[in-house]
Amino acid sequence: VNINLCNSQGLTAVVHARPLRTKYHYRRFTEDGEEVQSKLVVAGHTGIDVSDDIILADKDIDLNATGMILTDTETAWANGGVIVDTYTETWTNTMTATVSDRKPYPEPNINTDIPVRMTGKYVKHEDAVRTMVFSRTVQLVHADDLQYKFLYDIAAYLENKNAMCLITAGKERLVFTSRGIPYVVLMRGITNCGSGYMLTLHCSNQELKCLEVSDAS
Amino acid sequence: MPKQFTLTLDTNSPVSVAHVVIGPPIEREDLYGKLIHQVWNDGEECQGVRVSPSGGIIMASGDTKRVLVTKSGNFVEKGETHLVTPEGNVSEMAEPTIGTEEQGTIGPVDWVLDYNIRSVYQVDIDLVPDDFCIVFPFAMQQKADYDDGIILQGNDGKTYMLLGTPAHGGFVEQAQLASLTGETNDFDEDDDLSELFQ
Repeated sequence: VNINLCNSQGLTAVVHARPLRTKYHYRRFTEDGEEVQSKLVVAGHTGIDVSDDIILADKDIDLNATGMILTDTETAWANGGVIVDTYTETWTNTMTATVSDRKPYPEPNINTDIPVRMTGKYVKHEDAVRTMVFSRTVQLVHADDLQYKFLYDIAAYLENKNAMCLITAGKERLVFTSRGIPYVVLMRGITNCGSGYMLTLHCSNQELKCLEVSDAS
Repeated sequence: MPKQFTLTLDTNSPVSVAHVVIGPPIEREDLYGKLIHQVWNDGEECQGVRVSPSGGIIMASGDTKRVLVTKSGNFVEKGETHLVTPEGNVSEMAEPTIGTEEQGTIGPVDWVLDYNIRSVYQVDIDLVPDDFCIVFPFAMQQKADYDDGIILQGNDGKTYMLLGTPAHGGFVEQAQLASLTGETNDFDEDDDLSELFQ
């Protein structure tokens, strides 16, 4: 994905972002040495409609379809049998047992006309890890020499500050994908003695705290 | 019966052995709420479905299931299979850490930034990790590989165990663009530019 990023001097550039994660490339075999794969199949309860239209059939279980391997299916949302584009979601707050207002679907906001920006809010590394749970890490990389200098300077700036900087889209949390999770994002920068940089976005959607049980409950 | 295990710690630690009692997981929805339904225009609730690219197959998402299938099309149970590592070796399963002893390593708390955290537990431990964290291999149950467990103290003074996987980024260096900087590719004033058009 690309991110339209604004630095602390107000300069902007669209840079590339790549998620960092450990990929386990295990393969699974039978005792006979035949490779097996995980597939999605029809378990079959409320019905299936194999047709060219987009009407969800509300009919009995189709025994012929049960066990059929599904390939390349996508998740969608339907209302009254018709595929619809949902635009809000309703949440309940389990702490207060109240239903919140409906929220619009989160849409990506990292590469729009308005760049995501360094807010000027800085957090020490030690404080960040003691207050937030970082579930996703994204590394920013350059595509040309100008971007290299742009990103290197940000990394050096953060390294000198010895702190992470809060990154927002306006005043909103960052959303990387359509209907994705809105993340509170802190940017960390390290340089390698002038010959390289590491600029990472640490994404959190949960504070490091436990559920407070009130006296009333 | 609380879930617990023992950590054997290295020489940097104030104690050589620490006992850890694991509390229940701290879920995000417990803290902030839970998605209860998706709605359409006028508040009508929607149902998740699975659609083929052509729109030909539509069914409730709950009516599908993941199974293991051989290349010849036979369904097999997970217990009838084994995992093979990228190097071609049969993977030894990670055994549950509960009730056992693991080797922990003491380090600065910002080590946590090198991990993608998947789950959080509050823990009781007979050691206060006030300015360090403890990293160790952990498996709640038998599985393909160990997670990394990290114990640290939160800003609220409570102690937490985080489970995650490494997310190491490397330094990015400026690419050497030889075609732009090498003298052999420069043009002289008397070069015949017509060659460029051939």
